[in-house]
Parts: sequence; C-alpha cells; structure tokens
Amino acid sequence: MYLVLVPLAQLIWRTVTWGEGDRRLSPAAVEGEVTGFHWMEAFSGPSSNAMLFEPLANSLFTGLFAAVFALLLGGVLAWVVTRTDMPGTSWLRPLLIVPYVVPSFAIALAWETLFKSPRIGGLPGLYETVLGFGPPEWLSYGPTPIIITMTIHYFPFAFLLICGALASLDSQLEESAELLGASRWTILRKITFPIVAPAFAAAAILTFGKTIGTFALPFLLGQPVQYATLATRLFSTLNQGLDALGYILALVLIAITALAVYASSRVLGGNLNRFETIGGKGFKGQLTRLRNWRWPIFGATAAVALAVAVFPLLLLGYQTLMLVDGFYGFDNLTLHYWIGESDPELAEGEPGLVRNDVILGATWITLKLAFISAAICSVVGLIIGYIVVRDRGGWIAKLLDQISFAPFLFPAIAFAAMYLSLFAEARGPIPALYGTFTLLVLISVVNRLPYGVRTGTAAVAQIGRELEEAAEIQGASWMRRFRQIVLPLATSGLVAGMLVSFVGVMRELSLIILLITPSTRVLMTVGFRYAEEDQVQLGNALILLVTVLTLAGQYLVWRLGKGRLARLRERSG
Amino acid sequence: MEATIEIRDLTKRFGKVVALDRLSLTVEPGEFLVLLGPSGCGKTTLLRSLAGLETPDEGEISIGGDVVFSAPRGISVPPGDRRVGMVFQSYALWPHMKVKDNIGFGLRVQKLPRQEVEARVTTVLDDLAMGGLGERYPSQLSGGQQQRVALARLLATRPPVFLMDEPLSNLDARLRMDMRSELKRLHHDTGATTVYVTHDQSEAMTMASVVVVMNEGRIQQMAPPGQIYRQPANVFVAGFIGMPRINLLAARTLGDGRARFEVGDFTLPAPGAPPNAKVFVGARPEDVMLSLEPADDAVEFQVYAVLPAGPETIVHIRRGEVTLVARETRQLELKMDQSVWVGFDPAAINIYDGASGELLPPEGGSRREAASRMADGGRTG
Amino acid sequence: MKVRHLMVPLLAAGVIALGAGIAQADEQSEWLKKAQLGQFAPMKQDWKAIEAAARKEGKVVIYSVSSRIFKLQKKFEKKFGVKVVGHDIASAIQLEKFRREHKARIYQVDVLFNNATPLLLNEFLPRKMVWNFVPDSVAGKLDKSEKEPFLVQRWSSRVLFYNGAKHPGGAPIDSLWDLTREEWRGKFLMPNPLESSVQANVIQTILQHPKEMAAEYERKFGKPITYSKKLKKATKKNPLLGKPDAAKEWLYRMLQNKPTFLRSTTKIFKNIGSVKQKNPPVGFTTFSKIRKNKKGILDARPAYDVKPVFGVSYPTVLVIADRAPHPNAAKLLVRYMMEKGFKYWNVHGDYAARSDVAAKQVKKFGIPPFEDLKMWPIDQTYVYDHKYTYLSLFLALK
Ligand SMILES: Nc1ncnc2c1ncn2[C@@H]1O[C@H](COP(=O)(O)OP(=O)(O)O)[C@@H](O)[C@H]1O
Ligand SMILES: [Mg+2]
Repeated sequence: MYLVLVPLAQLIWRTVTWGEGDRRLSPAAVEGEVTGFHWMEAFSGPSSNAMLFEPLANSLFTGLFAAVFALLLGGVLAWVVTRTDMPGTSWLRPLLIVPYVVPSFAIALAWETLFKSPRIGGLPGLYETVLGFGPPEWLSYGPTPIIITMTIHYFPFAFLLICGALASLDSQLEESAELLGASRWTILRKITFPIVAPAFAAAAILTFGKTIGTFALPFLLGQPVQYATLATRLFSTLNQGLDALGYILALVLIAITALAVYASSRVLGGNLNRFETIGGKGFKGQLTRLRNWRWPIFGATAAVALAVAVFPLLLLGYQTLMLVDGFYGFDNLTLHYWIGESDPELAEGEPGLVRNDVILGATWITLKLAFISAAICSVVGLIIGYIVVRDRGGWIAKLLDQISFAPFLFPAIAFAAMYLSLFAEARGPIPALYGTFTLLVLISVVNRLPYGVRTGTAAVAQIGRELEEAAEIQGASWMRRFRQIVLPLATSGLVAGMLVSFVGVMRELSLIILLITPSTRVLMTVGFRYAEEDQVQLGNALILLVTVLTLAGQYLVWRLGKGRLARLRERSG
Repeated sequence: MEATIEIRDLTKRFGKVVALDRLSLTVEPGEFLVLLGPSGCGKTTLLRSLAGLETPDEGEISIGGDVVFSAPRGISVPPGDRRVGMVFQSYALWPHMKVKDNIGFGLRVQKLPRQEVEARVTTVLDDLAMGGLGERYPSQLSGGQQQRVALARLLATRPPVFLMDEPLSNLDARLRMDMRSELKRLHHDTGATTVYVTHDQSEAMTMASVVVVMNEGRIQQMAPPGQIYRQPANVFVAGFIGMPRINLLAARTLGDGRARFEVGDFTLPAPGAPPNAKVFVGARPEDVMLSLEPADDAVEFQVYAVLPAGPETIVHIRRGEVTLVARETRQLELKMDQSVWVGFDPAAINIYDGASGELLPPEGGSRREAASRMADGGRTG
Repeated sequence: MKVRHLMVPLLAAGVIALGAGIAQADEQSEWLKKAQLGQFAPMKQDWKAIEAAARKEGKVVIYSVSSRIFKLQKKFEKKFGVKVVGHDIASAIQLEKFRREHKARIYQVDVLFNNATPLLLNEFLPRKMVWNFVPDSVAGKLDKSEKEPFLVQRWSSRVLFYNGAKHPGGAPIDSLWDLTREEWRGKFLMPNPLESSVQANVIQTILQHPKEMAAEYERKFGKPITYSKKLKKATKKNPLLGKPDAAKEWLYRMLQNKPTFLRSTTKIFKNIGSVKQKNPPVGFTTFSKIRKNKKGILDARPAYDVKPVFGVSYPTVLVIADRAPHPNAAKLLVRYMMEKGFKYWNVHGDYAARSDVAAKQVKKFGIPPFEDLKMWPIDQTYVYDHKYTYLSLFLALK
C-alpha cells in the first residue's frame, strides 16, 4: 500500500496545488496553495483540445486497435501452438516471443529502416531501394505503423498469457464436446474460449493497458508527423517542466485503465470458480488433430514468426556489421562493433561490444535485476492472486486487487520520480535505499506487479478449491499448502508471468533512468544512449545482446517450469 | 476410533441463501449416516461445516466430545485439527504428486518418520488392492483407481470420522455397485463414524445405518433406511424417497364417522384418519393392489402403460385425471386400456395432514391395527 | 480510518519540515563556509590548498549532459588522485533528479554540467540549490556574461544545415521564412519542439523577435506581413498568448508546412547530409554535429547566411551543487574542464567560452568567429517565463 498509494496521492496532490514554476502559468500562483487551475486548464482551457482530447482520442484509437489485433493474433497462435499437433512448436514458440523481447524502439527502428519516407532525407529505406520509389506516407509514419508495430510488439504478450491458460486446460473438456458431435469451431467458441476467458480477459486488459501507455512506438513513428498520444504528450509536458499538467495526463491514463479493469471485473464478476479447470482428477492434454490443415497452418505460423521475429533481427544484425551505416556492400562489412578495440574514428571511440566495460557491467546488473525481480514479482503476484481468488468478495481481496493494479499505468518516469523521493531517506523502519540495487529491484517488482497479479490470479483461478481443502483437512498449514499444492499447480501460469516480468524488466528504461547510478547502470540505459547518439551499429548490437540474453533467460525459466509441467501432463498409454 | 458428532442449531447463510437453517443432529459413534436430499439442499455445506472448510454463522459442532465450532463462544478449530478425513466428489487428488505422495501427504504433515509413512502407504495401497500403483500419477489411473486413491488418502491418517461428499457419483454404474460394498466393508473394519453425502437414494438405502433427509437447509427426517421408506415423516420425504415415486393423493375424509374418504370421484378406505379433514394419502406403488375382478372397496381404473422390469412390473393406471403407479410382482397379463380394480393396502398407507404435510399418527394405535379393525368392520358391515 | 492513516504522517512531516527549515539554513551556511563558496568565497583562490583538500576528498561526482565526461576520468585521476564518478544524464532529467535528491537531503553530487540554463537560473539559483564558481585562472579570458550568473564552459548552437553535395554553390535557403514556402513543404527536419528542450528554446527565441521576423518577411517577399485567421482566432481566444505578430505567424506557417520531427540530432544531421540522395531536406540540428561529416558519405553544411539568424546559441554551464560532499574536488574538476580537460569538448562546431581557446578553434576548424555568426543567444528568463504560453501557442497553432 505504501508502495502504491503514497506515490499516487503525491501525484494527485501535485495536480491540485501550485508548484515551483507555476507562476509562469498564472500570475495568481502561490506555491504550495491548493488550486483547480491545472484541471480547469487541461479540460477546458483554450488548448485543452490539442493538449488532452486529441492525444486521448489517438491513444484510444491506436491502443484499442493494436490490443484487438494483438489479442487475436496472440490467441490464435497460442491455440495453434499449445493445443494442436502442428509440427515445429518447440522452436516456433520461442521465436514468437522475440518481438516482445526486442525493445519496442528497436521495432520502430526496424520499421523505419524498411519504410523510411524519402521526405525525411538520408539514405533510402529498404522499400525504396527495392521498389525504386518511396512508400506512401501513411505507411511510414502515423497511426497505421503505430498500430502495426504495437501489434507486433505486444501480440507475444497476449500469446504468453493465453498459452499459460491453454496449457493447463483439461482437454477432456474439449473432448467431451467433441463426442457430443460439436464441430471444431463450436468447441473453440463454446468450450475452449469460455474456459480460458479469465486468462483471455486478463490478457486483454493487460494488452490494452500496454498499448495505450506505450511510449516509444508512437513517439518514434507518430512524432515525425505530429501524431501525439497521451503518453507522448505526457512526456512532452514533463520535459517542458510543466509537471502538474503532465500528471493530469498521467491520471487520465490511469483512469482509462482503471475503467478497463473495472469493466473486466464486472464481466468476470464472481465467476472465477466457474473456470477451475485443474480438477482433482489429473488432467489430460490431448491435442487437437489438424489433419490436412497441419502443414498450411504450420506454414502460416512460421511465416508470421519469420516476418516478425527473424527478419527484424537479421536486419538489425546486418546493420551492426556495416562499417558505415546505410552502405550495403561487402567492402563495408566489419566486426569492429562487436570485437573491435577503441578507435577514435569510429563510434566516438567506443570499443566493440565484447570489450566494452560499460556494456559488460550493465549486462550483469541487468540480468541480476531481471531474474530477481521476475521471481519475486511472480511469487508475490501469485500470493496476491491467491487471496483475490480465494477470498473473492472479501474486502481485502478487492483492495489488493485494485491496489496491485495501480502501478499499471503510472507513467514509469513519474513513478520513478516518486520513488526517488519516497526512498531517498530513511523513514521509520525503511532504510534509505536510494542508489542501491535493492531499490531497483523494489521498483521493478512494484512496477511489474500488476502483471504478476493478473497471471497469478488466472493461474489460481484454474486450481480447484477442493485440491487445497483436501490438504487443509489433513492439517497442512497455509504455507505448506501454498508451497506444495498451489505453487506447483500454478507453475505454468507462474512461468508465463515470470517470463513476462523478466522480459519487461530487461527492457525497462524510463523507470530506471532516474534511479541509476553508475553502479546500477542497466543495459537499456546504455542502449538508449546509443540510440540517442544514432550509433546505429553499437545500439543494434546491444539490442541483439538484450534479445539473446532475454531469450536465454526465458529458456531457463521455461525449462524450470517444464519439468513440473511434463509430469502433470504425462499420460498412460 | 469412535466419535460422536453433535450439531446444534447450525445456520449458514450465503448472502440471501440460507444453506443451513438451525439444523441439529447427533451422529452416534460408529454410525454410517447418509445425508440425502435434492441438489442444493445444503448437504455439502453441512459436510464442509463439519470439516471446518465452511464457517457457519450460528450454532455449535462438537466431534468426539470436543467443541470444534461454536458461534456464541467464538470457537472455530481449523480443519486439520478436527481429526476428520474427507473424500471429495472430484477426489481432489493432487495431479502433480505421485499416488504414494498423495496418500502419504497427511502423514508427512503429521511429521511421521519416513519409514513409517512408507509402511502405512504400502499397507493402505495393499488393502485397497492397488499394490503396484504407488509410483503413478493420478492422471495415469482409471476413474475407479483414482477413487480408491482418494479413499486411501483418507484411510492413511486413520481419522475417527470419515466425511464423504458424493464419492461415487463420478463412477460408472457397475463400479459404483462394487464400491458400495467396499465402502461398507471399510466402514465395518474401521468403525469410523461416517457422514456420507449423496443425492442417490438407492445408495443411501443400501449403505446407511441412519439416513437424514434434508431439504432447504433443514432436516426432514432422520431414521434407519427401512423406516424412511415405510414411514416417511412428511410429504416431502414421501415424495423424495422411492422409485417409482409414491402415489400421493389429496383427499378429504368424510364427516359421516365412517372411515372413508374421497379422492376425485371415488372413495377408498383410510383407516385411522381423522374425520372431516384435508389430508394426503400416500401409497407406495407396491401398496397399490390390483385385481382383475371387481372387489369390495375397490375402484375401477384403466391400464395406461405397462413397464416390465425383470422381477417386477410397473403399471400406470388411470381414472379420469388421476394417475396411479403400481408395482406388481405377480405375473399378471395386463393389456393397455383394460380395466383393473384398485385398492390400497390399508396397513401400509400413510396419511399426511393436508396443511402441514406432516405424517398423522393413526388414532388409537398403529395403522396396521386400525386397518385390521377396518377390514373386520368392512366384512361385518 | 484511511483518512487518519494519511493525516498522521502528513502532520508529522509538516512539523518536521518546519523545524528542518530553520536547521537547514544554518547547515547551509556551515557548508558554504567550509566549501568557501557564496558569501564565503575568498578574494583569491588558493589552488594548492584546494588540490590538497581535493586529494583528501578522493572523489568527485558529476551529472553530465555529455558522455564525453567518461573520457577524462582516467587522466584526471592520474593527475590528481581524485576519482571522477560521472553520470551521463540529459539536462532536464538531471535537474529533476538533483531536485528530488536535494529535497530529500541526499547530498551526493558535486558538479552539474548542464545546458538547461533557463531552469537553473530561475529555479535552482534563487533557491540556493546550486552555486556558481569561477576559477580565477580562467576568469580573465571570459566575458562577463560567461562568469555571471554561471560559469559557461562552451557555447553550442542549434542551426540550419543543408546538403552540400546537392548544393555545392551555397545554401538553397536564405531566410527562416523559406521554411514556410511550398518548395520546402515536408522537406525540413528538427527535433520535436515539444519534447526537446533545446529545440523549444530555439522556437521560443525566434518568438522573442517578432520585429526582426517582420522585417525579414518584408525583405524576402517584398510586402508587409499579414496574419492568418487561425493565429488571430487563437490569440483572441487565449489572451495570454499576446497579440498576433510576425514570429507567431512564422510559427504557424512553419507548422503548416509539415516539418518532420526526429528524435536524434545525429540522425537529422545524417539525413540532411547523406550524399546518396536525390532530394535532401534541410533542418535544424546541433552545430557541432558538423564534425561527423565524412568525404563521400556525409556532407552537411551550416546555412550561415539565413536571415535574420541561422540558429540560436546556448551555453553549457558548470555549477557546484549545494551541499556537495566534495567541494574542493568539484572546484578542481571545474577548473580542469575549463583548461586541460577542455580538449574533449574542443570540437568543430562548439565555441569555447574562453576567448583564447575560441580563437584557436576558429583557425583550426576554419569557421567564422563566434561574434560574426548570425545567431540569437537564448534569453534564459524569457524562455523560462514563457514556457507555458509557448506550449499553449504551439498547441493552438499546430
Ligand atoms: N460458496 C457458496 N457461495 C454461495 N452460495 C453457496 C455456496 N456454497 C453453497 N451455496 C448455496 O447454498 C446452498 C446449498 O448448497 P450445497 O450445500 O452445495 O448443496 P448440496 O450439496 O446439497 O447440493 C445452495 O443454494 C447453494 O447455491
Ligand atoms: Mg453437493
């Protein structure tokens, strides 16, 4: 509560008082006094349209479309990968997660490389190079590319969440419908979908919350043509030192998600138990046979994987090998940016990746941070999810549910700013954590908690209550039950949650940028600097590094969970 | 190993739904008590309250002399300390644990030494004829085997009280029959006080030493199975118990002092019924006597349908709006629409108060005596 | 209950803050005395003593707008035995971070190397959160404005560039008003003036000069300027924006002419200068990017002759943080960055504040002297005070 409500209260407080620089806004400003000026200005001031409403509309537009597309794509792929006998799932699955692993700005960069508009000058993009003429404007910048790249970036997110739910779905439920003569489509629609509904709803809200709060994509692809969303407008106002207005935009963002969350909890209501699918009888994971469709579907899935995962990475990878960016040709190839020593002529004298102390140090810290935070976050998320599900309707459950969601749409940068002041000095039992690794962990965990809680809730909602009661009757304490019953059974959901958190922390930037000290520098802050300085090769090499590390970490987590899952799914002949 | 269970004035509400309504009940040591009632009547809630999985709003529960729950005194002993074992309808086997770990879980919780745990698990598995299955996972077992594992898990900790919530409902018919006898045997061998929930009356009748019929959170009748069947305490129990259903006819006793009363457009003898009252007459199908010829006090009906069922035949007969069901063990050659003459076995019928639905005790002694007196009177009159 | 929960800490915090306020002032003058800054600055700086004290302090922490700070670490440590802990953070975030730390009384930074001077001047200096320090060894080489209110290390500028390969004969534009002409529609780049504080400063500085913009309009188009409907409407609707004028009209027309906002100034530079293109854009970017030009690859040239100005200049300053834990090391570092250590910032396109160094730069890079460049320096107070009206105007006109 302390971690969430206090910052929120501070945020709101700032919007209704005059701040340090506010005498610029109105001569009547007296620092520290309460005022409604900021809200009036934002909602009915002369520039409220351009300031708030237009970006709001843009946010909703791109956010909704991207979320819907991401859900559809992620959902279909999740079903195909987990519930059918399509070949190649083992290597397609990690590939499909790649776009989420890659920092969003990298996707925007790849998009720009492909669809660069000749209007902005510089070397022609790939599209223009190949076709001889530039792409249409709407494909280079604006809502279309924003929606497409958001979809590409976030569908794996939905994919992971839905996979987790589908993996623990008892196929008997589907089979019994099949026996009743239901068509495959009917089964999907009437059985599979409703059963994974809570996970799906969770995925929907989370994805929507993500898309609507996304910063880098609208920033890089909307900004050039002055297409602003709430997130980018928020960034602008904060950047101009007009923080009260910025916070109002932040609160609007928060309100939107809160609304989405509320709507979803209304829809799902008290029906969580309806969706218990891990019964006490062990479950069977029979796969749907695709028959003739096997290979076509495989082809389509593989094509998606290649287009969204392999291709952008190849593009980025190729760029790291170019001595001079933008010149395609063999004589321009070099490994300098990977293994070269410092050369003052190149990359401002920065040595290649493997010799770069800054990068290596940051790598270690990043990995540590991501692993620890993801683990803590998913376990805490599971515990909260547990309380939410089991104590359904209880006020603690409701409160926890709401609160754990609050960090969701805190603009990371504002959130970080508050944490800075919150933990700057010792308060009561809480020591001054500023500049420590612990604070980074803490803030990462809190920031990721909504995802942890959602996946935790979905995971627990699928575990039959009786499984736990059986242990309770035998005298098992709560701790024991949680450890030996809930935790193992929630593994698949937990793993999904952990993956999401892991990836998230690996890529987090704005949250951390205020809190870093040289001893807590992470990869993304380094990468961001390269992007800022347009050091394409080093930046891309770093993106690839993050990608590879994240994939490796993810594989590890997956393996950890898989041993257990395998045992759950074993079948007698 | 024996324990008394005492339940006093137990009430449990879920929002507006009253699942248990001031329910009191005593289960004697070693008894095999079956809770029977339609779905949603509160059986599971009662069982779960006994186990401590549900916290009632009012009342008291004691098990083996210890108060485990008391609303007025604010006592609520956690489930693990109540020394009860439970079998869930879904079995609630832990899918991630091997069979032997499922069974040994409670023992490990009790911190028994490893060898002891293993020994007991092996014994229990052998007792239930599942010797080689300890290493399997629940999903690798058939439904019947899973059921046994659930039982084994309960047996392993040797609780003095067994609670079972429709344990057989997920099995196919054959297996269910076999398991009934096994459960009965088990109860005999352990002597544990057992509370067994079912909505299947034949299961209740075959297994119970005492049956409790519940409806809407209240006990309708508590009696041995035979009595529940022969003398249902009220219209609800009468209607609920028995397959095919009891014939329950609304009637008015005649005010002329003679012990006859009206049903539809006919009259039948109703020994021992109060005069001039609205009543229900309950006659089990086997108490409906058919004859092919007209007889004294017999009313003419038409055969509506004949349903042979092996050793017996169920016959639906009709007269006007009134349909009756009869069970015939004789080999009568009945044709559709033929006339039969119908009388009730006066010794077996039950008469219920028309307003309250409660069973009316026959005036001056048992209905059987009254019936025989009537029969004599009829003959003399 | 919830309300009470919040009230208690709030009240407590209030009481503590009140008491702390008084204690703080004492503490600060104590520190100033020790650091010999502010009213305790001595007439003559004793560098022997400073260096000795700095060695004892052993370390100096700097928030730097430029990543080049990392390059001087080794040399500085070798020379003085003082470790430089550099944080490479953009100016605005740097100040935000520092502000929060200072409020929370975490005093851990010594030097701020920063170009968000409007904020520094109007918020940090009056609140005594930063202190100016001018090493007397360089004082003689600096203009008065470069010693007060802050020590200026160098002048950077944001200027218009064009592609030299396409236009070897000279710039294709000669007026800021060119950016409003159909010919350049969609063909000019700049960082987003809503996001980049430097670019905002550039636009604001142009807005500060309506007369010059009006004169230039007349020169360029041969007729007096007329204001468009949208501008008139916007100013009428929001009186805070002031009367319509030529600079505002320029902003309006420029925004209508489809500028492209790119994030990275390096990218803008490359996009303008890349020789392998048919129809290159022009645009605003940082002057010192000129060092990236490469024969046969990049050829972007400053459009020196654009009128009334081809860019806006702004200082990058060095200040000492209030309550710096290593004040002597800080002084030493500041001096070093003005002298020997300046070499890392001695690049084509930036002008040293020191007149002697700047003269050498002019020779070495073959650039016009700073004074000859047609640039407006930013007016920190104007920029700061008009931040909100600027934002409103921008949003109203876009
Ligand atoms: N957890 C619960 N929440 C709300 N209502 C419940 C809950 N459990 C049981 N009920 C309600 O209480 C009544 C009795 O339920 P239950 O004891 O399960 O019946 P039975 O086991 O006899 O079928 C039903 O109306 C049921 O809907
Ligand atoms: Mg039940």
